[in-house]
Amino acid sequence: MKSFVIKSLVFLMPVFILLYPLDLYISKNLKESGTFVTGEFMIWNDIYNHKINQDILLYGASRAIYLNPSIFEDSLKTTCYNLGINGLSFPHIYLRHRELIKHNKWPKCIILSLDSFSLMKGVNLFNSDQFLPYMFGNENFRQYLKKVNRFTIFDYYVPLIRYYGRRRAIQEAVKCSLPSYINMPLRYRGYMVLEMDWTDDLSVAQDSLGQMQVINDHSSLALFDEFLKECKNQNTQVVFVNTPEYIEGQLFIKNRKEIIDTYTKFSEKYDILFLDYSNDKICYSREYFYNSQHLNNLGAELFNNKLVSDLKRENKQHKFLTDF
Amino acid sequence: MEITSPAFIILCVVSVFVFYLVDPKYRILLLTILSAGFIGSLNVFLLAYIIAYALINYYIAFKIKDSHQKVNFFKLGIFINLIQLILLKYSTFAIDPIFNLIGIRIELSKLSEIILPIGISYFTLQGIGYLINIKMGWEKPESNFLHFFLYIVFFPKFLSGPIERSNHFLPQLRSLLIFDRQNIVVGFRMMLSGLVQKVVVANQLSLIVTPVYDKLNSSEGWMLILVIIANPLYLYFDFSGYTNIALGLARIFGVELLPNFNKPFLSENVTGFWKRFHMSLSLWFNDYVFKQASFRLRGYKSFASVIAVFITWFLFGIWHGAGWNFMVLGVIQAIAIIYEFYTKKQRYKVFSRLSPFLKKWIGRIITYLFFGVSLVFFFSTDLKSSVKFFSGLKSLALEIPSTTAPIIISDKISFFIALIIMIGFLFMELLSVDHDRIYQRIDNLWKSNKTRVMLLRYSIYYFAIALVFYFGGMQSEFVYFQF
Repeated sequence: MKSFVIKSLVFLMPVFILLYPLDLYISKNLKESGTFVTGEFMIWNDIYNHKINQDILLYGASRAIYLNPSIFEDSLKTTCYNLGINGLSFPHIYLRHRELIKHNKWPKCIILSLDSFSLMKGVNLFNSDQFLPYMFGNENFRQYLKKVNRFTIFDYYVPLIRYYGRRRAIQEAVKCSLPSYINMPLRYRGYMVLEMDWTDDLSVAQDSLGQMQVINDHSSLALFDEFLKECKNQNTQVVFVNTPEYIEGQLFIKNRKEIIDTYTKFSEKYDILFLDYSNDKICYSREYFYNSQHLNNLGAELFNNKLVSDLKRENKQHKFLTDF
Repeated sequence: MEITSPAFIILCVVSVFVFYLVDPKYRILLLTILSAGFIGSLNVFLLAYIIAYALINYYIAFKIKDSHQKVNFFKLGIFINLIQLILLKYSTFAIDPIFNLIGIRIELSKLSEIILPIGISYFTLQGIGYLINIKMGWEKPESNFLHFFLYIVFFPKFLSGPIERSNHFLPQLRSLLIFDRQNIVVGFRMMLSGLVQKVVVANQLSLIVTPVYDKLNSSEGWMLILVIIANPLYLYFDFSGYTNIALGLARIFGVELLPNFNKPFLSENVTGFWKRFHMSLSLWFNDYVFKQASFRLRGYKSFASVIAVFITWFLFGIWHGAGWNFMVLGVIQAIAIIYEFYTKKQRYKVFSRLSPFLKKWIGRIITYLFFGVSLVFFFSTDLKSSVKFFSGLKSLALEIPSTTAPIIISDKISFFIALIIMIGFLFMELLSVDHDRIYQRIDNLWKSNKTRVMLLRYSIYYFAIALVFYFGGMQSEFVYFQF
């Protein structure tokens, strides 16, 4: 048996030896991609390279990524960066926040885009490849991704294992390592232009579900509360924004009012300005959307200007952005 | 936990080390704990249920042997086995609609939401088979409950078989104390082969098959033909992949499970095909249903076999699921087998004019296509969908695939690699049957201890590991997990 164990270890030796260098090769090259996972690596890299020290940070999921920091900067005469994380819910937004404050300074103001699914129970880990190059040995990732059944403990502590079957990530890493690779980042300071035609996502969802009941997750609610408390302690001003949602999409969520009420309660508890665009005229015109949840380029441009002017007006009246 | 996941593979490797490090007398206990832990990780209620199930069968087996009322106990045992299967698996189809009709407001199907009946079709057949063996005197009741419990829950085979025979499995537990290097080498090789079959080949083939059944409305013509051709290959690589993982894992622990496949696509007729495809199930039905039914129906003389074939294949069909489509699946197999039986002479006359090569390949192609067509009933969600599938065949125009078509192969390189590997597997099977001398030479060369050969062999292993790693994470469940 002893000789068999030795032979087995000899056979497995090349595999063990290669685990770490391969992990390093894939992770290092993957981080260079500006297009993979909707350009999220650019933001993660900026976080770890201590490049996010702007005064205003835009937080949220996919409905945040079309908030243009340049418009905010020009109008509010300050610095701004968009940390919108595509397709995920609050625990993942919070994970990015934790990593941000570990490597960068606290912002003066956080504009947080909220939607019906921000605190929802059982959100799938969309775009999970974006965590791969950064999660190895990182406790924050383990803590805030644990609810999602996509990663196991081995992914955090055994090199390379997390790339098991991640073909697209491996292909992208190889592509990035080639001298011919030209990096054309999708995101500019986190902001992304979305030039897309109307998709039939909503009618597909309506056909299969009719209407959708969103159930909020208790632990997400607690985390949300903790986050707001932290911000208050750090004197970081938070603003809630419910960006426009196409009216049919609003009707698709059965308990939408209840969800908005939850956000209102939080805004009252922490004295936070809540800009809710549920009834904005943008919501009634399909030409501004590429699906029920997301604005297209035209809608985003219109909305960015509207939001900034609303923020300026509110600030004049209530002086909530104390430093501007 | 996915059995193709790295976590499962790592845990298996660790378990193997622990298994061979512990005192041999505790190995069966360890395997039982591992198996119970595996089931518990799927559903705790299922674990409790299965303990009760095993205890009842264990007790009834003794009663069948020792009691004066052995027939009554046997009937009771079969009744309990069947009723629990019906309650947990078929209540939506067979019981709830009847209750609804007579105004009883009980939904028995809710029961299966509490006790997730994973693996029920497999362990029930094992339980029934055990009781029949005891009743017929083919084996003695197992005195050690731990051994019997392990027979029911042994984790490599728990989810999707193979359907073990107690008189094949239980005697092996008595010799589980020896360390055999060959078992581990062969076991790991089988596991690796199974992983390649599943994660490389079957998962890529599923890109053709699954979306078409999901979007039947937008699938027609050439896509449906393609799916009919791909159906058998997809099912074979998926299920054979799982079986090899199960067989390999069991072998590492020193247990040889029954085989499930023996180059099925080289069968020249449907009757022969079912002796090579899902063998543990078809042989179970042959031994415990067909033979018993033929014997009991012997009064009907030549019709006895025909009726027995229909009963067997009808039950075979509904074993797969509660739906009319599965019944049709079984019945068409019965029709084909009876047709082959009654036309044997005529077919021999016609085909004897052809060369042996042509005769063999015509048989193989017809059998393959027949299986491909009948699998439409297997993969469809219900009979209506099967009919819709066949209606779609009317429009056979070769449209150019649009971007909205269900079949979208975005990663063409991966798909191409999978096709090459698939052809490699099938080619080796063909060699082993049609050109056994060449196959033997390759096999001898493979086993050789020459340095060059060893290097080649090791390179192939590393390549296979790399392939599994590259293709592995695609979340596609094994087809036979649903039963």
